[in-house]
Amino acid sequence: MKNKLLIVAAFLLVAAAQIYIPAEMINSREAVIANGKMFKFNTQPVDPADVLRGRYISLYFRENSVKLLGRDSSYVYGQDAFVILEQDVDGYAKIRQLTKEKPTETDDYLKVKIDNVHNEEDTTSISVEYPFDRYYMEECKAPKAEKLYNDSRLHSAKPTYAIVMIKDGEGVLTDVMIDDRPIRKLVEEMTK
Amino acid sequence: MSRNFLKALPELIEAGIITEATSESIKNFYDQKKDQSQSRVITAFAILGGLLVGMGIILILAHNWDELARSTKTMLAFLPLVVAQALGVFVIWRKSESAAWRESVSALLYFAVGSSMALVAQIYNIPGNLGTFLLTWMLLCLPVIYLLRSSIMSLLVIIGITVYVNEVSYWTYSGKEAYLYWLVLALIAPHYYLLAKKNPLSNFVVFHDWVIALSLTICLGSLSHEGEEIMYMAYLAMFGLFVIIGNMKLFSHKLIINNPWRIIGSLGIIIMLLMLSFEWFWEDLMSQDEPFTEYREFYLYLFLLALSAGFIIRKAAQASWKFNGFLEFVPFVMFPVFLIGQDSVGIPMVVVNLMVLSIGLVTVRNGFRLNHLGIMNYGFLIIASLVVCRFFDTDLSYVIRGVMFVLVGLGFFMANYFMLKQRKSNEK
Repeated sequence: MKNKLLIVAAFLLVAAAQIYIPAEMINSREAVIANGKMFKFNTQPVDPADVLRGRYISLYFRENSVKLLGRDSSYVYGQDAFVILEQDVDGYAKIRQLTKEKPTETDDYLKVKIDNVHNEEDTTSISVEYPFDRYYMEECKAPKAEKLYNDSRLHSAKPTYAIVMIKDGEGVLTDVMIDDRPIRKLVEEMTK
Repeated sequence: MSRNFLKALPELIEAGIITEATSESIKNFYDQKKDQSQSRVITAFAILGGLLVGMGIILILAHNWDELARSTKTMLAFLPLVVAQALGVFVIWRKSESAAWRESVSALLYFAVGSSMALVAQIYNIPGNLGTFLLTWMLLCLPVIYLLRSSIMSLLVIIGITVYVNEVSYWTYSGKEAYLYWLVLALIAPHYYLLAKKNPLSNFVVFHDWVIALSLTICLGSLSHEGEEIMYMAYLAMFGLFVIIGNMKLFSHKLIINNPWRIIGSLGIIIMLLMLSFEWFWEDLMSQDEPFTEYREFYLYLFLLALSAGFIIRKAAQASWKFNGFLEFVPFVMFPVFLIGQDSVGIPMVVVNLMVLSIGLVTVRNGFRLNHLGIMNYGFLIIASLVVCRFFDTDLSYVIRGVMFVLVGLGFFMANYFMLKQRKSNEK
């Protein structure tokens, strides 16, 4: 009996750990959604064959690189870094600065990964990978969303952008908009 | 059969062979058996019904997933996990002696843990890192192996951690070593040991043998750093160790299909030797700037050799020990060959080719002696594979290569013919 109680207690500890991990994922992201600042990230055209993998739309962003003066070999692929963001004249997110250390002078920064470093004669181009590159959708709706997304970028001038809430370097993707309307709503209208 | 037997009972009573009381006892016995099998059928249908209802609910929810609020989606993401955990507590408290309950709830819990993390990632559009996801999933399930005494959980965790190693070391551009794999395997080892000790003939032991042997074969390469050629040596040593384990009393009496250590070990050694029989390997080895001692793969090779030597010495010290064949000693014989290979290409190539040919011929001879077609043909297959390999990398004329193929083929047909003829005459 005592043995069983001990085993149940140990199992409940393990169960608590199993619940804690996803709960912590939710907690941190809900805090960003509730208290973060909204940024609009302009998306760029993609090869349709790459866009859809499984049940999500792959997102590619226009503002994903920085040019530094001089040759800089201190950044390497896969390294963690931070981008300080500001808004351009059209209200879209723009990278103001890339740093290795966490910025202290502003809250408008995002933790990213270095994707590519290209050294030229007197400049260094660095592209970054954002922590939000996919938008999950229901399986049967995703192909329609993919078509809408591609058409809006490749064949029309409709602005397509992702809404991201940012706080303490973390970013949570909450929606993808086409012409200021959520893509899910547009897909629903298509299916009616 | 039982129905016919029950019909014959009145006849048996009339003939005075059994009494009325005995007849009643027999009827009660078969009624009870029928009840048990009926209840198993009902249980099976109940499980099937439950699965179908569950899948139906999932499909309805999935179709309307986009319409649900984030909070509702989050609750649904946790639901399978909470249900599986509740069942886990129930099993520990009331059904701990039932293997069926423990194993089925463990399997449910394994997938519930993974799906809850995956669903949360979907709800919040988190791209995540597959390696981190797999590792977290396996570490969360590992303690359940011991809490629910579950072998299914153990097998699933080994499979999951093997996929983790592939993701981190092989499939990612800047592959890294996955050292935690070895820790997880070490933590599962006590469960395997207790399982093998308590019930050595159990199917779960056989499944574990296969899964562990295959997992080690896949994951050893993740320890490679810059000495790729030397990693071949480590693999040869590991396969030699597998053969030694397969020849141990614990495994050698089993059917060959239930002895993956022997199968994977001997096949692995043959394949490694065939690869080492090519000139390109020795040219690459000789072109290395640093001595062997500069590569971690060399120390891995030495460690595996030391482990193999320990097992062989322990076996030889036993009175019942008998020689199990040359394969166990191949990694040791290859040690000086590898050393010579740092400065020469020709000598190691000749030695390896002769070694493969010898193993093939000895296997054919063993097949004849044991009157075993399978072993004999396996020996011919080894020789034929060597001939095929030489077909591709020697400068011999096509005529000579053709003659070699004909000779091996003729040998193959004649050996099988004579053995079958001998069997027929023995039967007469």
